Amino acid sequence: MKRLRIKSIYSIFFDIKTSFLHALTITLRRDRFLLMAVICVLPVIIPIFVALFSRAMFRESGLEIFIRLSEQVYIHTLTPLLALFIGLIGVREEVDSLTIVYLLTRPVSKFSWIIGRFIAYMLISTLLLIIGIFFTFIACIVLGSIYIDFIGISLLLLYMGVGIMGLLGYGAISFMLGSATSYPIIIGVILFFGWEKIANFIPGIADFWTIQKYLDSLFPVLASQRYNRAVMTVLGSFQKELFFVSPQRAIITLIVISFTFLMLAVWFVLWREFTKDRVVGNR
Amino acid sequence: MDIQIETHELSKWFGEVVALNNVSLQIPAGVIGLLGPNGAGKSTFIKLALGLYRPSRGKIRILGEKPRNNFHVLQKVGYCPEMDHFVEEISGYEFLYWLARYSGYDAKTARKQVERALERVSMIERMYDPITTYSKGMRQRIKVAQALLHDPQILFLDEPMNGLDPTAREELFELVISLGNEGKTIVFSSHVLHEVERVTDTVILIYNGRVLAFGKIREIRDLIKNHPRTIVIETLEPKKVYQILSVDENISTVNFDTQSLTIHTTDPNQTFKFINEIFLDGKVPIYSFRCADEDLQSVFQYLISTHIPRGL
Repeated sequence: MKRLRIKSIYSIFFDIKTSFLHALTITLRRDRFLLMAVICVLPVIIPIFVALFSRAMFRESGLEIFIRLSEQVYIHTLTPLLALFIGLIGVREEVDSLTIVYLLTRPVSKFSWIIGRFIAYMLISTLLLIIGIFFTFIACIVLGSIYIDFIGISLLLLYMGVGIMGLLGYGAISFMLGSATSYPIIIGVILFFGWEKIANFIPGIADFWTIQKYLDSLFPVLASQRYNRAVMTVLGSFQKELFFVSPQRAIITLIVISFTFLMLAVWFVLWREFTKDRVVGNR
Repeated sequence: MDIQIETHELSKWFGEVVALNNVSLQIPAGVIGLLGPNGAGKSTFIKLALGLYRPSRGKIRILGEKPRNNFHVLQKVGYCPEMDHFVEEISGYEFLYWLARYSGYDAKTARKQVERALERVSMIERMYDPITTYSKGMRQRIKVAQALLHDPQILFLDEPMNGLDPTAREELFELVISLGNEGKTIVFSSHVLHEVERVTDTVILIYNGRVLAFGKIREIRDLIKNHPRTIVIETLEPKKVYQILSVDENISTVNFDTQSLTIHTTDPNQTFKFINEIFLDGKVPIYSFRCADEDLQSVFQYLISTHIPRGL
């Protein structure tokens, strides 16, 4: 008779905690982490630069610069970058260095292993992202039209929240790519910076298959339309409204996408044979 | 007999390469040598036993259970891989600590287990140094230590002697023997015959993905009915000895030396009977006679030669 082997809830949480702590200690020592930390605070110099060198009459307001930096730099660019470079430390590095063999021969649940690593990735990436957005916000206050008031803080928290949703979606896809493919960075760059950008120039059917569409749906409407080239055309504007996704639906969709891709990552770890010695002469 | 590992028509192929072919075995407790040249299928067998590979055909059971993604099996097995890969910048201690945690130990117990394992492989002194500073032998010992961390019932050691200096080899031989005496099942893979002979007299001979033989070295030897055995007879009158022995139809070839005679026979029992008669008769003095190819190397060479296609 086949016996069903299921770990206890306590064991699952224990494994998640172990995997989380392990991933945390590994990631914080990586040069890649330091590089991403520096990149995340780099946009802060833009408002400072504008304040110092731009002429007042041509100068964009602090609000405009903050919105532009939050949307274009932090959420559209840095979130997928963080997902690829921090997210891939968790699973892919173990696969590439072949140290995954040590883990796969331990009595640890693969589900817990992936979830623990994902939580570590989310924590580290979120901290890097929100610190960057926060300092950019502070720097933009210097330029005026944005203040530490209810509206300003709300806007800051909104962009931090959208950034976290982006990390969740892009991160889950990165984890899946890391466990399923041999070239996750290349495929990730093509997906996040190729496909996503192209699909969002054509609002309608294609952009539904991007994370960016759902993140854009969480932006303040006017702010997002201001810089979207697609909505500059009548057709684009019509399509944007026709296929508009409400923020509630966008959040649910992002959570479903993240969950699905994370489960796919777990499935690939369970299903794949992570070895590189399948050649004659080294069986 | 307490069966620890059982396979039935187990096969594994990668594309068109057959790594393991139709292997049916019942491996009991004890130290077992997994012997074969590089590329024979030893590592594939071990990886199938650990659940790292899925069988392409057939089945494998460890302690009666499927090994793949089965944490109950993984709690009871330890694995020292052949490959030499580590997270280089961390210390041996830290490397083992996290693996102990993944084995289900809390932080305090994990530390104890790590120190115990490192002590068994004599790595206590260098345990806080980064792995990148370790010699090949030290790295090998760390791999063995991580396999022992959770005190497994079955231990798979894939080419564990690779890169070890003579002292470390001796220590590891002693460790394997003592683990065997503790009642653990150890699958000791190697392509070097005398390494296997040091730790066990029970071997699985594997070549080209097939199991050629499994059992005690002597039993395997006896199974090879048609293998011409070499017998060396020391005598001052080799030609006279041969004249008497020539009635034995089992003798295929003969080589003469000044004070000895080397014969090849297909039925050593019969030939030994003849030699005994000559010896007891005393007409022709025989100082000694012995089987020259009783060792594992000879068995192995013979078994391989019968399985290598002609022309290779």
